[in-house]
Amino acid sequence: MKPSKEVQRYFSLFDTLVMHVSPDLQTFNANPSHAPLWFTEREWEGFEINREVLTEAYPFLECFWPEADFFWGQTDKQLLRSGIWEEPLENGSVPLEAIAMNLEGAPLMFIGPLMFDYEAKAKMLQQARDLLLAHETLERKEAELRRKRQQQKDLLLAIPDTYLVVDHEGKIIEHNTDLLPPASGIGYPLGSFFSEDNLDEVEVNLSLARDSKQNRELELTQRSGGSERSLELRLVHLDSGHILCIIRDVTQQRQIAQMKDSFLAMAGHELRSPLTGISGCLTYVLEEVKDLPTEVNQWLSMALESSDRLLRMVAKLLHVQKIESGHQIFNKMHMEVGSFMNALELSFKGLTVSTGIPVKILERGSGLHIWADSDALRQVLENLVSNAVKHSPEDKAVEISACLEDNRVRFSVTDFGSGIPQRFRETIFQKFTQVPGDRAGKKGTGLGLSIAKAIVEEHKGSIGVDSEEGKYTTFYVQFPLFQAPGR
Amino acid sequence: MIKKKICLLGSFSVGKTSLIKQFVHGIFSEKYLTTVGVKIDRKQVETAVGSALLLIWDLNGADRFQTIRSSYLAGSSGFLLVVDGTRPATLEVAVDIAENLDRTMGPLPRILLLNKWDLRDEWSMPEEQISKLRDMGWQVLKTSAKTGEQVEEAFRALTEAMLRKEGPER
Repeated sequence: MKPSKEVQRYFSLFDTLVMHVSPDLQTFNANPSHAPLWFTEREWEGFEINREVLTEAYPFLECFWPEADFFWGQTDKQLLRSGIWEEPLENGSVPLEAIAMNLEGAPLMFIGPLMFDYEAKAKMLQQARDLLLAHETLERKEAELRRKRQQQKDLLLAIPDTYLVVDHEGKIIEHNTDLLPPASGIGYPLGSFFSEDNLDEVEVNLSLARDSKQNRELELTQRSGGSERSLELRLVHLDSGHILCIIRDVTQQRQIAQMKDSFLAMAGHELRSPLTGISGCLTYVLEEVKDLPTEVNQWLSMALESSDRLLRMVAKLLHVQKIESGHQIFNKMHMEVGSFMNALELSFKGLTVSTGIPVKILERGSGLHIWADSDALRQVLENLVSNAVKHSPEDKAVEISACLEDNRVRFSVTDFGSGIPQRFRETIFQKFTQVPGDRAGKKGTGLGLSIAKAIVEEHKGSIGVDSEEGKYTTFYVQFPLFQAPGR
Repeated sequence: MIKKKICLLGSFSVGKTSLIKQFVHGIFSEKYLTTVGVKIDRKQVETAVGSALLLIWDLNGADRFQTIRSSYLAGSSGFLLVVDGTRPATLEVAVDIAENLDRTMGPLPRILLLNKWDLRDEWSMPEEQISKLRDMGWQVLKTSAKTGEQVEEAFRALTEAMLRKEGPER
C-alpha cells in the first residue's frame, strides 16, 4: 500500500514515527527517512509494520488499540491521545505518546516524544508530590507531638507532688495546686509561689536550669504565718524550653529524720556511760581477780569484747551525728595532695605488715591542691583502705590513686576481691548497711562508710563506688580543686 | 513462554518504581522521582509451577493530581498493591484500589506489599487492620526496595499465584 501524497508530506514534516494505517487497521506504513533514535534502536524488518509487531515493541499500545479502533471508526473527532509511557533507551528513557488521527478520511497514527512540555509537567507533579509528602510528614509529627503532650499531661496528673510549669519568661502557665498564695497563679512569676526569703534562690536556679538546659535540685524552708515547711524543689528543663517545677513537701520526713537523729544521739549518750562502766568492771575482774576458772575467764573476755564493740559503735554513731548536725569542727586548710599521699603511705606500711596485703600508690596527685581537714581526709582514706584490705585476696595488692578528673581531685581505693552486687551500691553509704554474705564486714559496725560520706560531703565533695562482681571494687571520693587567689 | 501482565499500584511515593528497579535491575536510589505515565519492564521469572515472562507495568501513583486510567489495567493477570509502611494513609489507598479492582476486574491474584521495611524505627502500620486483611485471605509481605528484602519473593509469589490460577502449562 502506497501512502498518499498528503501522508507523505506528513512523513517529511514530523520528526516522529508517522504511520498510515491500512483500511483493515492492521498494518502500518511508516516514514523510513525520519525514523527517530528511539525507534531505530529496535530491529525492524522493513517498514511494513503490523499491529502485533508494534505491540511487541511497545506493550503499552495494547491498551490503546481498542480506543483507537473505535476512534478510527468515527469521523467527528480529529485526534485521540494514548497517554504517556516511558520508553527505555540505552542511556535513560524518552517519554512517548501515541496519537491516532483521521486526515481527510485516512487513518494515521503518530508515535513520538510527548508534544506537550513533558519536563515542565513532570517538574510540577514532582513539586506537588514533594509538597504533599512534606505536609504528610508535618501532620505525622504534629500528631506525635500532641500524643507526647497528652502523655506528659497524664504523667503530671499522676504525680502526687505539686507542679508548676513556667514559660520562657519565667511566668507560670500551668499548675495542679489549689494552695496558691494570694498573688500567685497563671501569669505570675514562679517566685510568687514562694516566701520572700526564697525568691533569690528560686530565680537564680530557674535561670541556671534555663541557660544550662540541665535539671536543678534545691531545698527550701518556706515560711508563712509563723509556720515553716521544708520543700524539695526540682527544676526540669523541658524540650519545649519551658521549665517544670516539681515541689515536694518533705516537712514530715525532715521532722521524723530529726527525731530519729535526736533519739540516736540521746540513746548514744545514755548508753555510753553504763557501757563504759561495764567494760571497766569486766577489765578490772579479768586483770585483778586471780585464779579464775578458765571457762569463766573465756566468758568474761567475750563479754568484754562485745561491750567494747558496742562502745565503738556508740562512739561512731555520735561521731557521724556530730558531723551531720554541723557540730563537728573541721580544721580545713590548704593541702598539697602529693605530700599528703606520701605521709599516708607510711601509715599503710604497718597495715601491710600486719595483714600481708600490699598497698600500692599508683598516682600521688603531686602539685594538686585541695581545701580540707587533713586528719578527716586521712580518716576517710584509712577507712576505705582498711575495708579494701579486708576484702582483698591474699595475692593481690590494694591500689590507691590521687589524680585530677573533671577539675576535681579524685582519690580512689581499689581491691580485686569479690565485688559488691549492684543492688547494694546505692544503699551502702547509709547507716548500719552491710552487704549480706560479706564475711569480712561482719565484725564492723556498718557506720564507717556513713562517717566517710558525712566527712566528704561536709567538704563539698562526693563519694561513690564502682564495682564488678568477682573482679574489683573501687571506692572514690572527689573534692573541688583548690585555686589559690592570684594563681 | 507464557507472558503475564502485572501492575504495581498504590499511593504516590510508596516505592513502586524502586521495587521494580530492585527486582529487574538490582539497583536502588534514595532519590524520589515521581512517575509520569507508565513504565513497562520485562523479566522472566521461574517458579515451582513453571516460568513466565512478566510484563511489569509501573503506573503513576494515585493521588489528587493523577488518577489511574482503567484502560491501563486491561489484560492484567495480577497486581502488587504497594504501601509505604511508615505512612498509614497509604494502606487506605491500597485497600480502596483493591476494592475497585475486585469490582472491575474480578478476583485476580494480588499481593499487598508493606514496603520500606528497612525503616523499622519509623514503622507505623495498624497491625490489627493488617491481621484482619490476612484473615480475609490477603497475602501480605514486608518488603524493602532498598535492601531487596522479600522483593524477589513477592514477584515470584505473584507469578506462581497467576500460573496456578491459570492451571497447568499447556
